[in-house]
Amino acid sequence: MNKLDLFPLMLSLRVAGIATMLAVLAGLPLAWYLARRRGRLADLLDSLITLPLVLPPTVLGYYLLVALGRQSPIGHFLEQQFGLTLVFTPRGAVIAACVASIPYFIKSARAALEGVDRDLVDAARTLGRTEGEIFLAIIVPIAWRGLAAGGVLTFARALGDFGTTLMVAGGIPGRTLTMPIAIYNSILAGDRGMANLLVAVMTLAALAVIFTLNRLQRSFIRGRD
Amino acid sequence: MLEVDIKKNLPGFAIRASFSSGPGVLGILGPSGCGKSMTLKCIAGLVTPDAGRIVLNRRVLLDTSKGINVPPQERRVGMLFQHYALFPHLTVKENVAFGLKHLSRPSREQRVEQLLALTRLSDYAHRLPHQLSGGQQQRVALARALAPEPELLLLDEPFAALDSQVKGRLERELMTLQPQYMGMAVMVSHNLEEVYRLCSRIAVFADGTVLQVGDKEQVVKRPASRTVARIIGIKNLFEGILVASKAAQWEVDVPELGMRLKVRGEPDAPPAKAGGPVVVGIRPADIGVEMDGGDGSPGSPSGREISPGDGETANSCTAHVVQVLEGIDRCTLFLRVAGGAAREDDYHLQADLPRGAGSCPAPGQQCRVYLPQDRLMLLEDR
Repeated sequence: MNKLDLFPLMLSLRVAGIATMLAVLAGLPLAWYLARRRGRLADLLDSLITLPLVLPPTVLGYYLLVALGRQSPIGHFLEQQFGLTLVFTPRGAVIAACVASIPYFIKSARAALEGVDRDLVDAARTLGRTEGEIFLAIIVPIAWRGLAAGGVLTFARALGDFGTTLMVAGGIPGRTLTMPIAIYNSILAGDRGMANLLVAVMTLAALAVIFTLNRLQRSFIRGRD
Repeated sequence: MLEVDIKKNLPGFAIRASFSSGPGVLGILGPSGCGKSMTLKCIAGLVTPDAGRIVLNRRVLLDTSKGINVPPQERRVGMLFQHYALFPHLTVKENVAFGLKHLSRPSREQRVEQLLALTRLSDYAHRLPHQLSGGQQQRVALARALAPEPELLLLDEPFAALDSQVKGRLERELMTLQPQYMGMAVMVSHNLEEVYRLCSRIAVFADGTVLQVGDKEQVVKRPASRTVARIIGIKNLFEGILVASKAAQWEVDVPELGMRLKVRGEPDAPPAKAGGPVVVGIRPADIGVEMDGGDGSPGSPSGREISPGDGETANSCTAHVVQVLEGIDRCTLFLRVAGGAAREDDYHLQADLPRGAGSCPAPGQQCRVYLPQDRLMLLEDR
C-alpha cells in the first residue's frame, strides 16, 4: 500500500474554503437583491443562479473552460495584463468549486433574508441608521442561522466537486489533484486500499467541518427560540 | 404642526388622506384595513405616496411636485410598531441606544439610562426582548422611539396586542409622558374608546379617505355623515324624511320605526331641505328604556330618566325585548318597536342600560322606549 499522500485533502480543504468565502462575498449582495426585488430582471437572475444546480457538472466545467481558457477574451486579458492563468491551476479549481456551489448559498441566504421581519428594518430606518448599518447590525445577525446553513451547504458542495473541477483544473497530481479526483484515480488504478483510506478521510473531514460549523452556528444565536 | 395631503394607489383601494394636526395627539380612527397604517408609513417615509405633500414643523418631508422626498433616516419621525419590532438579538439597552449613534459614548449612556428610568426598565437593561412581558416590550419600543427626540411620534395600534390590565396602565403612562416627551403624536386605532381617551383630535378614516377631522368632542357629538356615525359607535341609524323644520327643531318621519321623531339640534341648517331624505342616529346608551311592571321596583335597571317635561308621547313608543346581551356593568337590549316595519334584522333598536345591582331584563318583556330629542342626530346619507 502506498504511503498516504495528504496533498489532495489539504488542497480540497483550501479550495473549498476559498470558494465558500468567495461564494459568500458575491452571493450575499445577490441574495439581498433577490430577496427584495420582484420583476423580470430578478427572475432572470434567479434562473441564471439556479443553472449550475441543474446542469451536469461537466457541462458547467466545459462552459468555464471555454470562458476562462487562454484563447478566450477573459483568459487572454488576464494573462496579458496580470500574467494570470486560470485553467489547469489551483485558481481554476477554486473558480470551478465556487461556481458549482454558489447556488446553494444564494438560495439559503435569500430565504433567510426574506424571513427578516420588514418592520425591524423599518424601525431601524426611523431610528436614523443607514441602509448599510442596518444590513450589518440587524439583518445579518437575525438571518445568521440561514446564512450559516447556506455556508455549510456551499462548503460541502465545493469540497465534493468532481466534474467541474476536473474539466477546469485537470487533476494534475501535486498541483490540482483534489480529493474526489484522487479517489477516482485510485479506483482507476485498482488501488482499493488507497481508495478506502481516502474515502474514509474525506468522510471524516467533511463530518468534522460540518459538525464544527453547526456548533458555531448555534453559539451565534442570541435571543431567538 | 403636521400637514399631510397624500395619494397612494394600492391593490384593491386607494389612499386619499388629507389632514393637519397641531400639538397633542391626533387619533386616526377607522376599521381594519382602511389604509391607516399605510398612511403612517407614508408620514414616516417608509412608503412613498404616488403624489402629495407632507410638511412637519415647516420642514417639507415630501413634495412630489418638487421631487422632494426626505429619507426616513432624516425625517425625525419616531414610530411605535404594532408588534413593537424590537431587535431580537439586542438587549433592552442596545435596542434603546440603537437610534443614538450620533451621540458620544458618555452622552449616549446617559440618555439611555434616563429613558430606561422614565419607562421603569432600568432593572431589565441587559435582558433580551423575548425575556420580557408584552407591556415591558412595548415600553422598550416607546423608549427606543423617543430616544432620538423625534419631532413627531407615530403610534400604530399601540395597545392592540396587550391584555386589558396592562393596556390601562400603559395608557396612563403614555398620557403622562406625552406632553413632556412627545410633543406631537399621531395614533392609529380601530378602538373608539382608546382614541377618545388618549387623543385631543380625531380623524375618521374609511376606505383610505379621511371622512372627518376635528376636535374629538365635535366628531363624537356631531358626526358629518352616516359612515362616520357608524365608525364612532352610533349603532342605531334610520333613514327618514325631514317633514318640518324650524329654528333648530326638526321633525323626521321614520317609516322603519313607524314614528315621527322630534329632533333638537345645533342652530345650524339641517343636512336636507324639508321633504328631503336624512338619516337619524342615536347611541345605544342614550336610549331611555322603562320595563313594564318594573317601575319603582328596586334594582331593576332603567335607562335615562323619562322626563315628563318632554311631552308624554313625543319620541316614545312601546317595544319588546328580542335578545339580551348581559355584560358585567351593562345590559345590551335588542328591541323590536311595536309599530315598526319588518326588517332584515329581527330588532329595530339597540339600547345599553347601566346594570347596577339588578339583573338584566329577559327576552319577551315589554317596555317603553324613549328617544331624547337632544340626543338624536341628523346626518347626511353618505
